[in-house]
Amino acid sequence: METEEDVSDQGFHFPEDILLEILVRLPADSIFRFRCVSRNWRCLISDPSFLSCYVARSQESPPFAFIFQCGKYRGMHLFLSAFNTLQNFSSPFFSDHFPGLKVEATSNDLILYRSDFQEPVYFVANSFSRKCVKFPMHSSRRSIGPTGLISRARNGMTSYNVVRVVKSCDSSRFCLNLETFSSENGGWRSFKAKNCTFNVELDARPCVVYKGVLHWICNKMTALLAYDPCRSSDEFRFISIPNEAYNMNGMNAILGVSGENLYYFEMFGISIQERKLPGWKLWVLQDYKRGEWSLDQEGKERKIESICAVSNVLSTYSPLFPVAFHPWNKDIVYFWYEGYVLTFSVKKGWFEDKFSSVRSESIVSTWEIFPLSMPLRPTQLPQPQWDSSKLAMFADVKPDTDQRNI
Amino acid sequence: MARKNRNPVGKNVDPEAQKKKTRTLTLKSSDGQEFSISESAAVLSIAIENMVEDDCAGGVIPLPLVDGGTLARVITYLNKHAEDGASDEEKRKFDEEFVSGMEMGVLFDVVLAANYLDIRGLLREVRRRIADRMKNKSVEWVRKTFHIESDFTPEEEEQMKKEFAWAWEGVDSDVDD
Repeated sequence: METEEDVSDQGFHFPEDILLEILVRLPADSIFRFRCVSRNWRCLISDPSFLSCYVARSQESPPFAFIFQCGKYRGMHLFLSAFNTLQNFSSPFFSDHFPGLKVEATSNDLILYRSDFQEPVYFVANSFSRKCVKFPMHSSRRSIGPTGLISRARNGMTSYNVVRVVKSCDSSRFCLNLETFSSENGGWRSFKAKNCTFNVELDARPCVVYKGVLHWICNKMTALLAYDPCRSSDEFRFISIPNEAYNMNGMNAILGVSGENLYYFEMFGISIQERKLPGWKLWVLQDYKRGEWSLDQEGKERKIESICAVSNVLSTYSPLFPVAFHPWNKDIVYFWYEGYVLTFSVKKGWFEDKFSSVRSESIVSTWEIFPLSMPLRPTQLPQPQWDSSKLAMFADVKPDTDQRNI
Repeated sequence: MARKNRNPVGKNVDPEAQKKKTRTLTLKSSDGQEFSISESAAVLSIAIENMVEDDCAGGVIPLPLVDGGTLARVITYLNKHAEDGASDEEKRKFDEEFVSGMEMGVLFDVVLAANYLDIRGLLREVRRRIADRMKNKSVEWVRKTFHIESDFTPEEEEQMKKEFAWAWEGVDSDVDD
């Protein structure tokens, strides 16, 4: 065609503003693919203003993913994205230098890693920009305790706090020690929790971030241990699970955030017996201050009819249990069944036909599934002032100085 | 406005609108072709409306950034949208058909013209169409279509592909449609 020839002869130039208007209309997988078109496209797509524009007009929920910890040395992290496909969330670029990286916690788009190679170190990485910051370990480095991460975005910059809970016995009296790290002052602070008088067993579950407060699931999922690092008080708070809950040591239940609320979902059984799906209940924490739950929805035991692909998968007595909430849609709960991730619709009381298959032998723990989500406003990880010598080391690890890639 | 009732003595007829309907303008493309168009259709382009208002129209309006073929297409669009009695449903259907047969090169020409002439509806329609065509395409297809040379090394490309492998699932074959 004549016009096309003209175009290529003149050296085709497409105005950036039109191009951006076209790109924001593409689905997320295309966006990630087209970063590869050229440096200029990658620059456009990686720009914070593009991302906010993209997320704002996105019809679906912002992209999110779950990280599964897997691999013998936990160096690999599987990534189940919103597109229901699995990929190897290639361990961060520094993993060669720090084998045995483990995901400790996530908050929005930040991942907290810990490496126990040679000496224990923590890293905070932005999962989308792939920028990473290493920070110094506290002196009580040998102690191991569940860790929480909480991030906030202010004026395009991310700030975060890390809190470790370390149990200790102080002259036969039970007590909890807290170690907190803040990106704002770049240092650790250690203190004893004042009001912890009864025995607390922290479950091996990711810390739940809700209303800017860290919540550890404890005592086999019968309570939540809440701590607000921003109020820098030395006090914990306990929140119980719903009184009427039918608790099976936490095996049958999940606690988590979906949209604006904290939910508790449980099944009255953890396997398919006589081709029946057990009944279930979903509670919402109605009054956070008082710790009052209310029943949101429930489902009765249901016979499995061989009507869809999922029914055919669900055929044995193997364990079937909930593993995660959809971060934005409370009507969706994800289940784990023999290496499959099933999507359960609360509204329908049944599974969606789509499911993902995961090689379960490589998964370290199905309790440790970390949600990741793209923030509504993309932010930057602050460059630390506390450890500039270590930063130089990262420059060596990653020679690509193009910092704008997602 | 009671546009349907085209009674010449009707009270509701805006005399200014009537004048626009009968007045014609001449648009001149970059390759010298001239097109007649009613003023009411032409002013759907904000750029042309401004030229008419500023009275720099002076008979023939030169559009040095739009070639004849593209201008003819744009005028077809403007005429349809200025047409009396065309329902929104009809216009939507027209828009759909209008862009569906166009090749990517033509869509690019039209989107550039719509941008230059500031025709919002057309711009929206064509942008959507381009995004629709692009969404399941390969990186190579996009480069070819947008006339872009890759400035990544094969290693860099491989690395990005590895990092976001899921984004490469469900890519169509590079058949031009």
